Amino acid sequence: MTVAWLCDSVTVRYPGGRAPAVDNVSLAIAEGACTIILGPNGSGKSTLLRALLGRVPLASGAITCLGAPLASWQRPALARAVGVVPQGEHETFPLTTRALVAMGRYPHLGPWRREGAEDLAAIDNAMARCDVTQFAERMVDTLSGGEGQRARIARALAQEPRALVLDEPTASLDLKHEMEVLALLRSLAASGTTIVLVTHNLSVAAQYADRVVLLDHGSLVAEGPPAVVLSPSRVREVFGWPVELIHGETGAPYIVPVR
Amino acid sequence: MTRRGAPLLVLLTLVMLAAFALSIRVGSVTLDLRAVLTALTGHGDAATAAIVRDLRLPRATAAALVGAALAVSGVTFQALLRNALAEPYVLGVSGGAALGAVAAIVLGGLTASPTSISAAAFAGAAASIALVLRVAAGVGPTLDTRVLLLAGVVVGAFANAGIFLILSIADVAAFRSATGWMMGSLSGSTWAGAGTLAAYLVPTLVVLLALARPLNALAIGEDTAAYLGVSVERTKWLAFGAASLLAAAAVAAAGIIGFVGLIVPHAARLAWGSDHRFLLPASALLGATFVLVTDTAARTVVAPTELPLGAVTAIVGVPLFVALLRRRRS
Repeated sequence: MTVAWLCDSVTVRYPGGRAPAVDNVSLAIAEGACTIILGPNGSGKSTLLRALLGRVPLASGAITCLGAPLASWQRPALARAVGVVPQGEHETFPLTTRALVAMGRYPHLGPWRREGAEDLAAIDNAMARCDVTQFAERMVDTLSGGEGQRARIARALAQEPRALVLDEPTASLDLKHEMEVLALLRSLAASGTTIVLVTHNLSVAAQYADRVVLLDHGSLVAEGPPAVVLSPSRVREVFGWPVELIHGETGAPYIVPVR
Repeated sequence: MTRRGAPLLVLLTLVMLAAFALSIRVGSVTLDLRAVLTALTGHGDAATAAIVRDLRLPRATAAALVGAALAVSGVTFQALLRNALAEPYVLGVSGGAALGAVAAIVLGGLTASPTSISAAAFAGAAASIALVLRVAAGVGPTLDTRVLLLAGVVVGAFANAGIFLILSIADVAAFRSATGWMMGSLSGSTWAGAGTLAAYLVPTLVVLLALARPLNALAIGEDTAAYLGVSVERTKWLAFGAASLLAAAAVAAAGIIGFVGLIVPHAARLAWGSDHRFLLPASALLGATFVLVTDTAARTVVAPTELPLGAVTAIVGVPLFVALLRRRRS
């Protein structure tokens, strides 16, 4: 497999934190696959994600991203290669959906260059792909949670990245919108985009991931195909609650907490 | 910039030029445009030429530059602090400048000249900016905008305490002069002062325009900005520095003039959206127009007495601001 990210003994400490937020994690994230990072609250999922994106300093260890040391990436070059949908984003000033998506072209444009035909095409494609074209002139803060999230994914796609990283992209979405976003991500993965995402939903991970990464207290518990990693005994141990696996038609399990 | 952006900027430029012409024509002696043009070319009677070339023209130029500087500074602070109520004085610039100016007026006594007062005001503003940035930078590895805001508030309060202490030992003339300075005025405008302002405004405006896209991204969030290719810390330092410098230069030139840096960016955002490539030049033109008009009103409404400019901008600005807020809610 080609590797998108390679973590070598990565440790992250926050100032004042007693235990490291991410503790000696070594990990390879495959290119062109959908990798889902799982773990209980405070297990280091979001910190690991921020480390992969160069937004937290490493206490020790090293990360390689798409063939080059992460530290050697300039921000604009990294933004052309990796699109990100962060958690809890909020627009301070009113912004149309199109303007939000168009920001995805910033790493390609620099400070002065105007949007060319190529940029406009990338924006239109990304909006069509995420089904937000009809909201182009609507203000983002008037969109529903699911629509807004699709607009942010469209912005990341407009960057035309090789990899897409999402931090709990379906956290505040209802069932239909969650499934729509996941179907979109699945189709992106099928067309060769590397997907890395954090979620709390174990069944979602089991259904949609090619690989899952399970963290607990900052350490890597297991990494591999969901059916292998998410055994009932391991899930019970890590999450502190018994679960049952229900096997659906696709063969991938659903993970259901026991009452 | 949007397709309608360029024509709109041309229109705003024309409106600003009209306000500029009005400001030169109106005053103790009202001149028609022909008299103004004759005076500008050096013909006509000497008194009119002196009024236009030595008094009104430098004053109108300074008014336009002060308005532009405050508005651009306000737009930048709002984007950086992700707060629609941020304004140029939010980091303690006005307090520091006032402390410097008041100290120069009261302690300098007879030696205080407009130049030395202006220099002291600028030094005070620069010192408070440096102090605020230092306090904020000392708290964490990155520049936390919430800490920056709090640091601005406390440094401002500290400067106020200093002003009260100095005023308590001031004689009546110095007291009057100091409070007059704090209310803002363009009456002492000179070509040299306007030139200094322009020397600050032009390069900072270019720097901020180069940062317009990063500012758009930062207005959403620092993480988002980083993921869109922005060097977040460098952009914040550059933009805070540029916006503070503009505020300091404006205060040094004309004292404390409130509301321009709040209401102009606010109105521009409401009318034309949030793209800083357009907002920065549009606010500059709108701010220039606003101060040209209010300064003309300040020196003509109850002539020959001149009203304090800071009071006039607030009297005009507050009802406008309330109207904007109400419109926004509906």
